[in-house]
Amino acid sequence: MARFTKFGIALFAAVLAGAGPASAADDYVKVPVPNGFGVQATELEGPVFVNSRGRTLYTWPFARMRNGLTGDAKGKSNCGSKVLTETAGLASPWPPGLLLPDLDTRPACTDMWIPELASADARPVGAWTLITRADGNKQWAYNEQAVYTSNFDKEPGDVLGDRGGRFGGGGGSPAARRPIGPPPNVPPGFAVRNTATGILVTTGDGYSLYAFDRDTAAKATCTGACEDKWQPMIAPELARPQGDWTTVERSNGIKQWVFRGKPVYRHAEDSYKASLEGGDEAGWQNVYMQKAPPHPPGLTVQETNIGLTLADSRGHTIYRYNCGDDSYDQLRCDHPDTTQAFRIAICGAGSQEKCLKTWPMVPAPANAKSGSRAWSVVAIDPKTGKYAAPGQADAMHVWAFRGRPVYTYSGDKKPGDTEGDSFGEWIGNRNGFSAFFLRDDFMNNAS
Amino acid sequence: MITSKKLLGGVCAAALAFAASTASADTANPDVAKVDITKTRSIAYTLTYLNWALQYTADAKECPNGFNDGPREQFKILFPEDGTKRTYIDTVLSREITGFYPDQFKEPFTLKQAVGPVAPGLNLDGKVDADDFISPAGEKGVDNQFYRGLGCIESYRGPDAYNNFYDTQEILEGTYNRMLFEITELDSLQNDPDVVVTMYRGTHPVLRDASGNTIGFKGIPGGTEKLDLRWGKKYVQRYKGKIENGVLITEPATYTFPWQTFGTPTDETIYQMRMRLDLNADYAEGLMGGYLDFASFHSKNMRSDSTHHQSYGRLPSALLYQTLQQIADGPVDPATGKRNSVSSALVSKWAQVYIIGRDNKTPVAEAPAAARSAAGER
Repeated sequence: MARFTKFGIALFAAVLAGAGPASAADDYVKVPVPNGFGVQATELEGPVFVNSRGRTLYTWPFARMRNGLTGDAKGKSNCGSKVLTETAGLASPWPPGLLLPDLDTRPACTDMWIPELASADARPVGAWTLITRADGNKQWAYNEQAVYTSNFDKEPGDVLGDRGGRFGGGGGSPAARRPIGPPPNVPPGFAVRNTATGILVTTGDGYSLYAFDRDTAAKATCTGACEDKWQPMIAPELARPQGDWTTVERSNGIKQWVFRGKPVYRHAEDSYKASLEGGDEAGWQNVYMQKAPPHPPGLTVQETNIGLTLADSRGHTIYRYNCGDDSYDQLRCDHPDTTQAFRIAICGAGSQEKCLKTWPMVPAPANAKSGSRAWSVVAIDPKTGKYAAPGQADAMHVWAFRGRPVYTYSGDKKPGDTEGDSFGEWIGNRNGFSAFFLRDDFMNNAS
Repeated sequence: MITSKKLLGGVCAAALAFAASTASADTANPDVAKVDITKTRSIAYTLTYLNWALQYTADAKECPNGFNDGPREQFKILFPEDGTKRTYIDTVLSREITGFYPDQFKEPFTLKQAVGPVAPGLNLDGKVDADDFISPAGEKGVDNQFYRGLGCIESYRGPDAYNNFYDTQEILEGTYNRMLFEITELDSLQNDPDVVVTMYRGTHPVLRDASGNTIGFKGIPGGTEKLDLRWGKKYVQRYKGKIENGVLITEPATYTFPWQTFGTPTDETIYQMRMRLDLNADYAEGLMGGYLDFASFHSKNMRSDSTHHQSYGRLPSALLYQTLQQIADGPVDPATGKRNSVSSALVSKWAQVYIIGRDNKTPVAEAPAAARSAAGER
């Protein structure tokens, strides 16, 4: 524990408090980190580990793809400095050995995912260990997984490296890099889950927790028949306060967990994990560790046939573009700084001009401001789909989420249509579009 | 009169064998309390099985040229392993683009269509045309051109083909596809000249037996369903109908229904859909015939199944779509002058359920006349 710097964590939490939720310091378990590392509160991912420059740290766990494996095995980095030029054939049904696009500008894995190197005298601390790269350099590892920063992240608090959410992680989807962070500060038997509406607090097996408006930290009012529908989360007799968690006595000797001043329950009628269904009941609210930042002004929320989706001012569904190439490096290709060849193929059958008509980016009003870091206004070159040059006269100013433009689909004719969802390679996850669902009562919730 | 039971009787050898191992629709379940329709004047059934009505024989006589190639096989033909260095754009993305933009890129292949005079289905137009089929029970004038397109694609040749399996699995295990219908203004399950059939989406899973089985995709009657009147509003659709000799017959009207397989909210639409279902207090079973909007079918396959899953059953989606454009026999779309639908039929099975938790806010579906006329009348 000699290298554990409580000061380091406190410093980051204090300096960066403005970037995240006010109560972020109690959201996670204080764990040892290497000297200079810290924890950063972020809008979408919650607390994440950062290096001495405040850059978010990621790992790339081994992923079982349709036709093989890629990612990092424990104790080893497979992210190299050689530019890969061919597909690996991991994404069924297509064969390997095909030349990737834009080879003259294609980066190496380490250009996009910078290994977090350790000094020669660095020593393991807590879950942090050291691995040796192929070139002999030492690289930090967390839970034995090699650690990187992302070339997409430009400022402390950025978590732009990967798409985030449920997409990625193997199968036909790209093997995703994930930001890493300290464990959530929840008592045994509870967990958290990242969704489109925020980081939900759940039971250990993933069912949503709820709070009742009439309850207080000192009194749980849901008793009798109410308990048939709302099951109190009973605390052990020896339970003690932990961070934002306390207990309240329901009846003689029976304690119930309380989170941020509200006794917590499970909704017996929830039909799936991480559900928002119970929140439809008057007086009941889902319990979040932190809520997602609000969407930009002018955007709307629409009902669809599976739940709620983010929509433009006309009510037309908003989509996100997803792309990860089929090399062993599984590099993202969904960002304006990357090759646009994949996107233009899917959104315009090879024509950027058609893309603009079939999948128009969502325009942002002049001088629009999002009010969050997750959302931003970016200038796009309409001829290429890449970021426009500074001062470019014909640049399109569009809304972006995680630094990536968002879209509508010309095939949607009215509010609530989601005809563009899963449009593209591998149900839209490999190279295609997915609706920006905020709630999904049928598949896997919006996450 | 040709009953749907007769029509179903020859759907396929495999389906017959399968059905023979299960309780028939006429077999009442003595352990389940029956709906007393003299009091309720209504009964509801939930969907347990849905697949396209095809004629297929064990030796595939209906496919004299064999089965169709799928994405993998087509790729090898177009891009043989001859040492040529090829790009991802010109190969993989070229094939994906053809699938997602089938109106823009002509496939260099010809679909192997099913042949022969026999196919299950309904006589949709009341006529006996040269290209019509004879049903396995001998009814002439059966309109099911969709069978010509689908009949030689392994993915749909049941009962264990890829799409047959997954499409039904999602119906049983998920709730997105959970359609149900309620018959109201009902006086008799045997004969009633005037009933109303309303489609809904439900939220409860299909009732199964203690070992988790659904007894030949039939489910267990007597379960419950709660109506999805929030997210499922678009699926509330009303039809006029009658019951003759235990067979429910509905008047043609547009039917849009949820059908997804891998987590994508896709729908399909059938114009002038009419039901021919054998009814009893436990089950409903039979055909739903009409003109399939094949663009909705294609979109479901491309988005919900992906090229990867299409490869399992050698489903050449773009080629099928382009062939359906050629053999389409549905109404002419007045806006485009083209036919955008093809005659088709679905085999469906339903188990009786009790609708619970409804209140006075339950909407009454609009009579679907507007949708019907939009599709054009024949």
